[in-house]
Amino acid sequence: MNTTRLALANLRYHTKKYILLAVAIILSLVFSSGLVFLITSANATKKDLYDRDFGRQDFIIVNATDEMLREAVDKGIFLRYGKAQTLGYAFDPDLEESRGFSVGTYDEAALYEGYIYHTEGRMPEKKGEIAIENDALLRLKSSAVIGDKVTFEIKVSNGNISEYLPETVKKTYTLVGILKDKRPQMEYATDASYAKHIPAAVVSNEETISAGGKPLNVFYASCKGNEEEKWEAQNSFYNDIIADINSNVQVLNTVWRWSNNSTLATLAENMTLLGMLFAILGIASLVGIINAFTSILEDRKQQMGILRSIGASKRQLVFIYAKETAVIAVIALIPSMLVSYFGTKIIVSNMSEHAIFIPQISVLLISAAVGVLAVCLVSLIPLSFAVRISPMQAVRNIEKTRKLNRKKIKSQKSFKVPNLLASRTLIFGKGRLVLISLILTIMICMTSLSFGIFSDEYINILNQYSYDYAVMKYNYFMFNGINFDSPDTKGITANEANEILSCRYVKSVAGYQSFQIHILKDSLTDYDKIVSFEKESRDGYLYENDFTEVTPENYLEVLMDKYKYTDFDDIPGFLKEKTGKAYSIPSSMYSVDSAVLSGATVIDGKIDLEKIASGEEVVVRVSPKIGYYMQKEAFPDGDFYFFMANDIEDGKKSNTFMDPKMKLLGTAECSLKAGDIIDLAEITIKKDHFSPNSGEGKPVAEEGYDINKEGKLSPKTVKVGAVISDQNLGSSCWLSNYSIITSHNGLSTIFPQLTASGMNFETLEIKLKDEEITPEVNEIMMEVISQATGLNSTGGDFNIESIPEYKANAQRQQKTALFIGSGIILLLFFICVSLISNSFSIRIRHSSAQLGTLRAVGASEQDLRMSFILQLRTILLTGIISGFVISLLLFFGSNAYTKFLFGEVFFKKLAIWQPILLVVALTIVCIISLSIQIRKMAKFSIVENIRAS
Amino acid sequence: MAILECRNLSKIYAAAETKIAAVDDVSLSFEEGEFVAITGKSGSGKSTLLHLLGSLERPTSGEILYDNKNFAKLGDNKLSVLRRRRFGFVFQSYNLVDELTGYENIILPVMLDRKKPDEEYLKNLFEMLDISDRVSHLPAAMSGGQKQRVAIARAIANRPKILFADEPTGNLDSKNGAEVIRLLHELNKEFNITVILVTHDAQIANSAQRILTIEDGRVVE
Repeated sequence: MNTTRLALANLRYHTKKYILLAVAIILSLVFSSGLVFLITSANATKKDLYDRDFGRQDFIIVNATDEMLREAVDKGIFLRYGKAQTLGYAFDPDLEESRGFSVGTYDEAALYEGYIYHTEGRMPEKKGEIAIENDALLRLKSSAVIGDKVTFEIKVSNGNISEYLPETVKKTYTLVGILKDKRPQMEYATDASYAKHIPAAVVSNEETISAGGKPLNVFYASCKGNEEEKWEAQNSFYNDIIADINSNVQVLNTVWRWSNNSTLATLAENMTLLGMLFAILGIASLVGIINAFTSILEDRKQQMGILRSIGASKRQLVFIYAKETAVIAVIALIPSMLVSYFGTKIIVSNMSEHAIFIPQISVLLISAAVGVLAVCLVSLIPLSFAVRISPMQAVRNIEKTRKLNRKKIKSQKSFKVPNLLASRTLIFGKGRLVLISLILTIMICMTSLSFGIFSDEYINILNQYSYDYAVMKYNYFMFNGINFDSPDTKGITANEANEILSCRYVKSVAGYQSFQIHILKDSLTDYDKIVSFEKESRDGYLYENDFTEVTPENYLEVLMDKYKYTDFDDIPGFLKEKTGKAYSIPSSMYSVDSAVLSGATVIDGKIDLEKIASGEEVVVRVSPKIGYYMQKEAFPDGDFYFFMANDIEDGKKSNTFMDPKMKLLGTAECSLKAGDIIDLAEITIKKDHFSPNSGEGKPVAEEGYDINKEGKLSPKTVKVGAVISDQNLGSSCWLSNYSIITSHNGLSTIFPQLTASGMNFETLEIKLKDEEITPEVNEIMMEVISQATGLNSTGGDFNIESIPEYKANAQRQQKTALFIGSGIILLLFFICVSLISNSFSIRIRHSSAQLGTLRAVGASEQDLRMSFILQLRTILLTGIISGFVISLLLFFGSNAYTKFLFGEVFFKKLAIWQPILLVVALTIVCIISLSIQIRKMAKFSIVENIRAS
Repeated sequence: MAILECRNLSKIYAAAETKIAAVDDVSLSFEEGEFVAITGKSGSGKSTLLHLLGSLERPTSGEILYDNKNFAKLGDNKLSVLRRRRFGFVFQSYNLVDELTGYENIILPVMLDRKKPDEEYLKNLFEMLDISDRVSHLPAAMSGGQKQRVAIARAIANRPKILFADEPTGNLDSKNGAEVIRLLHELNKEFNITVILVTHDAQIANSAQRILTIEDGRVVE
């Protein structure tokens, strides 16, 4: 049998019926291939944007030789490389040296690999010209523009990492270009101490290094393969090329990249949204194909039966009818691809100047293949059901007769014709209607619940923040009860804070600083014991105990057994010996702005700012009641126990996120009150005795170190002026039990040695004036903060917390999530409409004789329409009621569960009007569609109706 | 007085470039209580004439008067009312609604008219048609003869004035066919219903009071 001829004949003689199928096929081809175009464009765009931030290279190799790189290329470890040479380190002697940057030359290959390009001006072409990264200029507080002369103090490289000639030189260049920032990203993504050698300023290749100096080589190298293979290449370079373990060649791996580039985020989100839209429309089109094809196949049942009766196998039937869709798909392919190609190209090109559209033949072919494959695959779904038909079933519809014979029906003595017809039709034809009700149920559930997940809670929390920007720059290394004698960095100075305050957008700047303190005691209350172990320095030792013995009766004894242990030394023993006090409780002390302190929630006493400033009084944060909890968890190696202290408010744990399974061991009430005298002790230790970054993040003391010899103790007795209960002051200063708080003046009186040794603010909270914070204002603020503090304004620096940016991100993410949710709901809506419309269309066509008969015995068009509307009502009501009931069950069930587990409800609200709106829209659309079909049917004469089937 | 009359009635079907007159300028009248057979060869236009007279199809031209009122131009709703109150139809292929029981099929026109069924009348009718024990079943559980008797019961359930029967014995064996014709005659006499019957069976036609023969859409005798 020539199946192609039959397929073509079917298409030729039933053109009208195939129009809907053809439209669905064209749309699905357009959207599926559009999706492929979009995905490839998104990937290319993403890679390009990452490259712009990090460069195209996989590795930046500092201090290697040309021979090493050549050998690596020869051995196939690297594919290609470029060379930059760092001539020196430019800085401003009036500012911190760390604010400076490296200056160097680049060969063409390095410029390409490093993706070094100017955003303003041009690249240097001759001696005396320089192009500098924007962030580097900001950090040097430079306001130079293109054409200006810029002068720097230069530490001249001697060819080794972090080594320079003893004498600095002063150099003046003409600023000819502003470069795209790379250094901030590099510092974050790689090792900052080596990344600082990557030039952030480019000079001409004609530039020579100052006398006596030797350039430091910086190579940009790329290799082929995936991420894993690139890591392998790095290992090979170390093992096969560098080989000498004493060599100080540093390989900075830039394979793994992270970016907070807002252009990338926005573009990625826009492309995701568009991709979702294409996917949704593509799926809707595929559903359209299923529907249209189902409808066509329903009309072909008799033809199928005849073909089956003359010996056609099921497989042959599949071939015959699948060819129909394949023929349409092939005919529609070229116009669809053209529409998809140019449509996506226009959309992508208009999204952003950075968006890249990839017009590759391979992508084009993949898109075409994906489209045709998708069309053919979905057409097999209705086909596989349709060809199951037996020859007799097709010719005489014996299936319906069997169904009718199976049911026991009792005659109604009196009835409304539309109602009875509707109910009987539903009884005898449930299958597809159940499916519609099910999809409708899912649609209602999704609509009711998904809108409830998104709430403005997070944005409201951000709105409640008392600051718009928080700037963090830790200056004092402190760990488990000790403070080091010199700061790692200078922190944020008062001058820098004032510089930010002078910005015209800024209303106020408040800072705080913190350090470790000990409260000395002659005896410990139960409350003191729990608080002691609430602190990080001691609770770890509890895990080593045999916890099967820990009970509500003995837990305080267990705590005291472990009292003497701290992370790296016997601090309690040291304090006891030096002060004569039997016990000590480790805690933190904070100095905050007087204005912030005044806003605290006082539960006892009074905040007297003058007495606090004089160092006479301090404020202490406590929770009036505290509980100690334990949780047993079974692990393969045996049981493990967790312990946690938690404030108790109104008889409940205040920390609602705490695992509800945690068992309460005991509670204690705080006896501290205003007017009490407390003894404080601060321990300072020489930082040189420690390697802060080794030993799994814990400071490791040098050999022979003894706290009794090296620890410097500063005791102080103060009066508790007020007891407060706030868990945080000014949003970012987090307090725990026995946190001691004073003002900045108070600190310099109580522990003057700390401020004298250079302890500045570790956090600034900046509040802007009450005007709208636009993205432009935010950008200016980031630059102001960067200029003042030397922190990076771009890159992955988390040290500047921008609430306006968080809000914008949260709103954007919420919008994206809502868009995707709405898209899925809309897709379900379209599927529902399409299924309902299609199934009624089939039903009306198949009931033509019945409808003709009903018209013959006196039924009006209205009666017939009503019988179908009543069927629709039943389907919709079933879906709506079950949808709402399931939604309610999920809503209350999930919320009860999450409330129990996490103390928070998952669904913030149950959306009511959105599903109702959808249902109303669905009803209207379906009724209109039904009415049109009934009207179309009624346009034929009764005799034509009767003869139609 | 004529209960049904048609004047210059025509029905023309357009096919490709040719026009076929299925009914061509026919003028006829039917008296109340008359039993008329319309006969002719296949494709002569007898069924089309019956459909036009019964308002199942609209004429291309001409008038059809019931009780001296032309209903050819009436709207669909008014025609529906006319069909369910005044006319009854019996088709060759029974045309029962599969999902409704025999009883429900029978009272369909009554229910469409929003009236209460006359149980006494229906009971007599069922007995007369010998379907009392079958009316509670769905059509799928009935024989052809039973289905046609249910169809006849439906046609006269609302006490129509005219019963149109289009080849009512076409799908039945001779015994059941004869029984159906006997019943139509009995109803014609019992309820004084005008019966207009289309048949190509000369024997059935001969049992009518009047025979109209159609050829090429025209009445020839």
